[in-house]
Amino acid sequence: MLRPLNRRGTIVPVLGALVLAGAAWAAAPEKAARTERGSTLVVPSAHASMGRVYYALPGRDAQVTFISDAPVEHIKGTSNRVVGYLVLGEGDAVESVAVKGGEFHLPVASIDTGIPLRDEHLQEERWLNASAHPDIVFRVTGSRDARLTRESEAFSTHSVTLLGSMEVKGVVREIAIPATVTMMPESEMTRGRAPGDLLGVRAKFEVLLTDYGVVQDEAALESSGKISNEIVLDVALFLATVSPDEARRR
Amino acid sequence: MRRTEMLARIVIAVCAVGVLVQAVALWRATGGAGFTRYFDEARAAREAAQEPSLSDLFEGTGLDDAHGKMEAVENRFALGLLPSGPDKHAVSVLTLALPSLLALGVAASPWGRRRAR
Repeated sequence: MLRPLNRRGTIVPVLGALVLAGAAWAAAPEKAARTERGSTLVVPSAHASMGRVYYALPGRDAQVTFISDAPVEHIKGTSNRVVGYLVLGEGDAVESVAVKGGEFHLPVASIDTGIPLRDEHLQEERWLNASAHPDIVFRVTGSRDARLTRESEAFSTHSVTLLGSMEVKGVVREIAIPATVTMMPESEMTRGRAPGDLLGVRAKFEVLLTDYGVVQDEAALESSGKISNEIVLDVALFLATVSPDEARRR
Repeated sequence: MRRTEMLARIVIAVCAVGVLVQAVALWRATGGAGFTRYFDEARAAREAAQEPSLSDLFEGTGLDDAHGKMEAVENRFALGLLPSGPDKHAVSVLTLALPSLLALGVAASPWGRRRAR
């Protein structure tokens, strides 16, 4: 005869499942979708209403370079396929460089290390698992400590700390990155190269592969001498107030 | 050991050392890479076809003051210490050295000398 489930036997597993589902949701929030052309992201209305939207311009310069400095090999991987946007405040000089929000997607499949087989390995489940997690996601939630460092009629440059999170292989970690931001209003000089007001963002920071579950055994990794647990990310993004989709239509 | 056999062993040893030395010299001359890589024509074509860089617009603005110019991933041949694949990427100091070391071992071994006596 089947014994009916008692309340404890039902409630505990259900609560456990709910907690796990909640934790999974908290660990990896939903990603912004790509536009139909795929050259940028759809900006949520909540972000669009916060200020001026600047769109990343992929396909030109190297945007993100990864550096692993291990005894056997100095590995560099680069990508110029980063898509996304950044929202800056509108107002006086300091407010106009206040970052209100943003999101960037770096396709794992776009990382080029100069060796095709190594690029393939990076996408495998053992490393970045590109089939399950096709993008490394940077979410920007704000900024602090903005300070003007250089200025002219044609541009203004600020040092600032960008706040947000980075998601790798489904694991999300909070980050605070010192950065340099240069704003360049549209001019005769810039219009021929890219329409709209331009923005340059430059930053360099380190991440640990163990923090994102890419590597479990740090000691084994270090003893192999081929890849370092500490990866330096060098970021140079150029953005414009005219999205790549709009620029193509013009 | 007969003189001709001695001469043969010496020639084998010299050739093996020659290959080893040249492999290491080529490794150092091409940048001392850990893994072998080749010039990627497809990548060069992609880079030639892409839209012009914007980085020069930002020169003199202070954008690169803190970190300098971004390191590029070079697109050129480099002989590595280790192979990086099964095809032409298998060529490396290790795969060049192994046959040479084997030849050195054969040249230096006493095997065969006993048979000559």
